[in-house]
Amino acid sequence: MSTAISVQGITKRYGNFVALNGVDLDIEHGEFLSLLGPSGAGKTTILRMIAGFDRPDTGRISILDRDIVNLPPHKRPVNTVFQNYALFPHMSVADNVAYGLRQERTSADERRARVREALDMVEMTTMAHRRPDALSGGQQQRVALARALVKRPAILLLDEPLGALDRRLRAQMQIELKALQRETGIAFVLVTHDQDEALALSDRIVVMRGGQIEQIGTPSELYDLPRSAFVANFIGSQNFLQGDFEQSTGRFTTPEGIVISAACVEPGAAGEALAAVRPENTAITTSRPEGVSNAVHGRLIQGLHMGDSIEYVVRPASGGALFSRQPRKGTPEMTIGTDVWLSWSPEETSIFQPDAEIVANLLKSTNRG
Amino acid sequence: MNNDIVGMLLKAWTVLVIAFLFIPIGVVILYSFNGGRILFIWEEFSTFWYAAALDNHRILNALDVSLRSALLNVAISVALGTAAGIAIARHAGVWTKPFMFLVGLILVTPELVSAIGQVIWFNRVGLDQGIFRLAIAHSLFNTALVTVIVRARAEGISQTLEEAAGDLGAPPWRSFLQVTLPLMLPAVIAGALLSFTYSFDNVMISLFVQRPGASSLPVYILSSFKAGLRGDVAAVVVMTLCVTIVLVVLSALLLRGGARRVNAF
Ligand SMILES: Nc1ncnc2c1ncn2[C@@H]1O[C@H](COP(=O)(O)OP(=O)(O)OP(=O)(O)O)[C@@H](O)[C@H]1O
Ligand SMILES: [Mg+2]
Repeated sequence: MSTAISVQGITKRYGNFVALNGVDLDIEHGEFLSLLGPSGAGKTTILRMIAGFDRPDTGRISILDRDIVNLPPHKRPVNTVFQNYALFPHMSVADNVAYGLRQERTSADERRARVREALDMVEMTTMAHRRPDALSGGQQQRVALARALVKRPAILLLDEPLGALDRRLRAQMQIELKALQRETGIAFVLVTHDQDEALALSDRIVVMRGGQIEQIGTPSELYDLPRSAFVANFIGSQNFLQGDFEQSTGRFTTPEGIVISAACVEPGAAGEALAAVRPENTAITTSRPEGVSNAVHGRLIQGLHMGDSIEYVVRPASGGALFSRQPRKGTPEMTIGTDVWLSWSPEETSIFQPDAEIVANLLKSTNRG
Repeated sequence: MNNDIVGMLLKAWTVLVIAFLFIPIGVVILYSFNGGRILFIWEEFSTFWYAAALDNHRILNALDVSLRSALLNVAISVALGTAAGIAIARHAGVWTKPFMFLVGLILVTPELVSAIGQVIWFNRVGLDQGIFRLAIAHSLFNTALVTVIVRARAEGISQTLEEAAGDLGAPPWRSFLQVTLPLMLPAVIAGALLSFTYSFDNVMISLFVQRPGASSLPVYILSSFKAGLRGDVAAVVVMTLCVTIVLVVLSALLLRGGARRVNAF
């Protein structure tokens, strides 16, 4: 694949506040890329830089090696689906979709054909003559998509396009988005808060935090090989244990003296550290399992039904809570209040440098327990 | 039972208040159809004075002055007020607060103060064209009025719409013409109608700044009151009233319709 747009060393300050700090990102032709991160991470800011609504303080944004930082939005081969749709209220659905083609002075025949094609694609042809205020949220969303796609941009930017929809419609639109992206071959850059959405739709995910990129990778790379405790925690769920990591021996020891071995160690981790394992990678048994190196003893305090699985909550003697997710079929149900062992293999274990936010949360739950 | 009495008293009170508010208008309308020579003494129902009013060249001349100065005043206040309103809503800066303070000041300045000030500076700069004097004097208040109305609407139109137009390939001036302006039009028209009404009714400022021979209609009516009221004055007043009501209702409808459409997003 070749690069459609390359973002290099972008920095943006608002007063003293650094909204983006040295962001590098290559968007490939035809890929589905998600920007994922907590509120205020700078996702929207990146999108606005690429679209041209805001200018970076430093850095380059280039298409085919040409710097476009000084190009106004109307001259960029990029289109946007806005979070609140931003349909023109005084124009019909068809005129909204035709608007971008009118700006290009496309011939009337071609314009009609392309508007029809775009409306067909999102199944809104029958509502072509309605005003936007006579449409439901999901329908407005489709029109906004058609209006941007009809321009056949190199890149389509979508800022939380599904944020305002209810859960069912959201799931349906996710499938349609993915299908549209395959069909058109346009690169989609999707901003989302929702990790499940990002995991389900994306070829690659960019995890952001505090104006910086934490990690870029495919969904399985991020899930299996998170590079930091933050990413591990943000994608999927994670059990964390606080302890001390001795770099020379590779031994991680908790204050209670439990020794954990791990296959994956974040470079630079030494001394105070976090050991992590995902709830779905743990086993739960009533006696200490043979031949498994990582095991924690505790009391089973809850079993939460999650549909196809049960999430058990185990409280170790040291306080806090560890989670274990078991499929519902094929595992005998455990009795709440009994003593159990939570165990997992070193292959499923990672050691990370401590993350202030995660450590603070651990302390809070330990104190509560 | 107590509630019944209170309710009836309240209703009676409401009727009294409404009567108090509308009796003067009702009386004028009624007496404009008085066929008698003296306005206060009812003789018979007749539309005689309506015909007489439309035949009186002094009334017609005053009407002409009023209309022309009102229209010129609309042109000035809409042009200045629209530009100012959009600028405040879209490109706010350090000047915005002082400017809005000034606009507020203009809106609350007693007409008498404003009128005397205007006469002094008109005479100073040697502006002695009657219609221009009236139009410019009236447009001071109206520019402030249009600024406030247009600003409110422009702030109601999401800036994302302009960004969306730009994103789809429209240069800024085209996104202004094709998106911003159409959405703002109801506010601009309402501002124009209110400016017209203000100017068309105004007595105080006109009385001071007018030139001999170019009296506006309200000023003519005032002066004929001193000479003894006749039915033609009542007839003209009622006709003016109708024009005013139509314009005010129209601008209210436009502002409401515009708000509904824009707020749907
Ligand atoms: N015009 C602005 N002036 C000042 N600060 C701004 C401005 N725009 C953004 N910021 C700040 O920059 C940071 C990043 O904002 P941004 O909108 O990119 O976040 P985001 O990742 O999109 O968050 P969310 O998920 O809540 O939409 C935020 O802390 C925000 O307050
Ligand atoms: Mg955002």
